[in-house]
Amino acid sequence: MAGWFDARRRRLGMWAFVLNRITGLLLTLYLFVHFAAISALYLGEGAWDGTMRLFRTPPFLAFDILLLAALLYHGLNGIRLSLLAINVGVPRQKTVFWSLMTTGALVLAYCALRIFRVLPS
Amino acid sequence: MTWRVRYRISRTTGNGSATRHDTFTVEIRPDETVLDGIEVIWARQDRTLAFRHACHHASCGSCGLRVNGVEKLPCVTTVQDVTTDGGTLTIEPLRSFPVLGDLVVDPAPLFKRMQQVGMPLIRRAEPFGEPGDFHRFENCIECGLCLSACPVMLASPHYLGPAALAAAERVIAEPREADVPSLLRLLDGEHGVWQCHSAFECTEVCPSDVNPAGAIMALRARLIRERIKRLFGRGALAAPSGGDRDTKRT
Repeated sequence: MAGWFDARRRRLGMWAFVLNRITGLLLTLYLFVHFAAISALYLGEGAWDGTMRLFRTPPFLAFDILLLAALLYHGLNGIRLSLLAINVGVPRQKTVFWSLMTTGALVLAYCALRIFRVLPS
Repeated sequence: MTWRVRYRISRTTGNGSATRHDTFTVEIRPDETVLDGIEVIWARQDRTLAFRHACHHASCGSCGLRVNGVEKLPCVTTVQDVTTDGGTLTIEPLRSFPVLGDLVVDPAPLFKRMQQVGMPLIRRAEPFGEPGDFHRFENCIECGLCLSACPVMLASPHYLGPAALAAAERVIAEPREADVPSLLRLLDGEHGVWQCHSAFECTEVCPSDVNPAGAIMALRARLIRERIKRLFGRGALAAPSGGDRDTKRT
């Protein structure tokens, strides 16, 4: 199984494959963290408000940006894989990858600026 | 002008025995091939080193191995392609094949997979040019580099793999007497095209322009069309097969 995560000296497709698996695992783990976090609702309004205040602190906002990056990567690469699976864009799969990742980077940058309130809402 | 290059070579007696790495130093010209260095080591330093070689021009596929972790044919890989003066080359056998000893692997898993899909030998699909033109009938030299590079092969020992799937695509394109419905069912099965995860390493390492990843995606498109046709009782997947293929016989 180590070969699944060893992309050293491999090309773009293998790196995309490895990152897809890593982000998939991280997002799955995050799902359980998310369930645990929102279970603060069971502890009452005070606990919930405290949890939300904590999540608005800079370290957690930075974590939100990393989470969004993983979501964007996994989702956009998933679109690329779906297209490849029906034989669309196969000769240009690297170009498709970089186009989607550029789009994702722009979306991430915009969201990061909004999250940290640099841009007005 | 020669370079001083270290060859760090995987050594084992096979059959699951422990693996070690022996390091040899050779003086070699940078435009000589990696295989030239291995042969010098065998001739002058260690006659017990086991490795395969034959044509020395990327036609037979015998010499396939990993150089610094990447699958290559060392007979056409020059030293300057993969290292520098004073550098180290790590030479290891292909992955996903049983190791018989040192750099020699058992190619049976590849040939069994090729048999399952009909192992085409000659392709007529390309147009013939002027009389006297050299005409390459079949690109795949069955070197096994693609199986070694494929990450899915590491986790799924029954996966048909890039070489066999690319060969299957050629059978579909030029069936002759092949049982196409049966082959399509095999490709649509548990260990067929849908196990590919689009890493594209097979195409990257192929020394012979087979483009296995492209062939797999083309097969997927064909299978999707056939599945849609089957909904209306038409197409090859709806047709009775001429025989059973054992998907686990690899």
